[in-house]
Amino acid sequence: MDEAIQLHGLTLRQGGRYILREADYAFREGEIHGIHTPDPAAGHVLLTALAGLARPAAGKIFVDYQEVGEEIDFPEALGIMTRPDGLIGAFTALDNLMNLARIQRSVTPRDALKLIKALELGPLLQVKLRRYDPQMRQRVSFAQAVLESPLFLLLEDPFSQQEETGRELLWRQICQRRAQGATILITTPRRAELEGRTDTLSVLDGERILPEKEEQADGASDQRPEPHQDL
Amino acid sequence: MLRADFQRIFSSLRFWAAAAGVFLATGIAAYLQFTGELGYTLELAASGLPPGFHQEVLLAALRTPWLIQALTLAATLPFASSLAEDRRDGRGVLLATRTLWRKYLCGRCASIALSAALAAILGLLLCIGVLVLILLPMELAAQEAPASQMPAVWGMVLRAGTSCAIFALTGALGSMALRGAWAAYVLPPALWIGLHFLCIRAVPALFCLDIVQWIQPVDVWLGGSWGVLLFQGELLAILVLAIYLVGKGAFLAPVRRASHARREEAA
Repeated sequence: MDEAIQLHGLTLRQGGRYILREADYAFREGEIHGIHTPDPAAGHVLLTALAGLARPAAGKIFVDYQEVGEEIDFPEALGIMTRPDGLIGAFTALDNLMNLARIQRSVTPRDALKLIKALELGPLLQVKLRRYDPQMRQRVSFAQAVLESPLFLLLEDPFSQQEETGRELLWRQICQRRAQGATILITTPRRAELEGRTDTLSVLDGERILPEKEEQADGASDQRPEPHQDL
Repeated sequence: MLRADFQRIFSSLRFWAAAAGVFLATGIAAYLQFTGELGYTLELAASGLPPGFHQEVLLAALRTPWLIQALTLAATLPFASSLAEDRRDGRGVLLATRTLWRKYLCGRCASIALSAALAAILGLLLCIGVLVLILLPMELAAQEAPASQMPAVWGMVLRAGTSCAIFALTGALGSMALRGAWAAYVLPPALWIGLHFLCIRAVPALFCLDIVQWIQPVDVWLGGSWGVLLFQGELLAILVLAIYLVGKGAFLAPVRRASHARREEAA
């Protein structure tokens, strides 16, 4: 399988300290890659750097064999969910999604509505986002990331506000995106959220990114939840 | 991008507050000119006003220096801080990754400039409409129709709009360079009012940077009012270029406060 994302001697710094130092790593295409980041800021910096939104101190990032920041500004067909979420509190969930969808004009209001209902946000359709509880707001943030069916999906701590049912709901969506061929990176400071769910699991700690339990790639398929069929 | 931005601008209280502020300030300036420089009272007005008086009041109001200085404040309200807020709130991540840096920054510049110009023009036009409705019925019929001064009024309204676009873009540039939304509100009044006083007190040769001159040009401008618009167009282009150059670097720099907040949250 191809390597969708490659880090070549990547050094990332934040506030005078190293997040990563001269790291070489690769993430395979079409898989779910979990990255345990005990320091949540490290996950944020890594994902924003992969998205082309943070400048590496040294090294190169290749996404789909194109160098981010040199050959391309941002990877094509990218969906990203970061914190803070960047959503507009004065808009409803649908308005927020359509406001973003207008930029690429690839999503119809019907598609956005379908996604909102799949994330069980239907009853809140008329409610402004500022009145949402954190769990529901996080689902809207997830919805904007997957809105345009991206090929690369970068999720920063997507389950932090979710209860058990919400986590299962998001995992179903994530698995469905993998089934469609997306490469998915998930960072979280809570390792338990990733165990048994991802194809690979690595840890970003002490300026290095190290694979953990690589055999999980084989065992994970048995434990994967079934993709949601009605979407 | 523009359509998405304008959905946000028109639903924001700040845009309407800016338009209302311009409306109120122009109304107050007109009243002060009516009772002050033009020497009228309400009792005197009830007995009849000279023909074309509403145009004189409008011109006098739009020439008021403090009104022009107030525009520097109103222009920053609708959207000038949006770039800094995008960077702080993570919205820049959502917008920029759906397009290109060039398109995102240029689109944002257009939204900032247009929203400021629209708020100012809307406030001025509303006030002109109200003043005409109040004053025109009080004017006495003329033997000969006086020469209309409305083209001069429309020219001043247009130049007020372009000036507000410049003030807003100055704020946006400052907020990116100084990495804070506060600069978007503080920098335009400080810079442009400072330059106004510098021009009238110390360096009259710099009259082209005097904001009062932009609205009501009295010195020799090459091309007259068109010369002012051309100069403002050049300033706008320079500001957009500067925002493009500064903006990308500012976005790529780490946002320290947000990451500290996240670490505390995790702890």
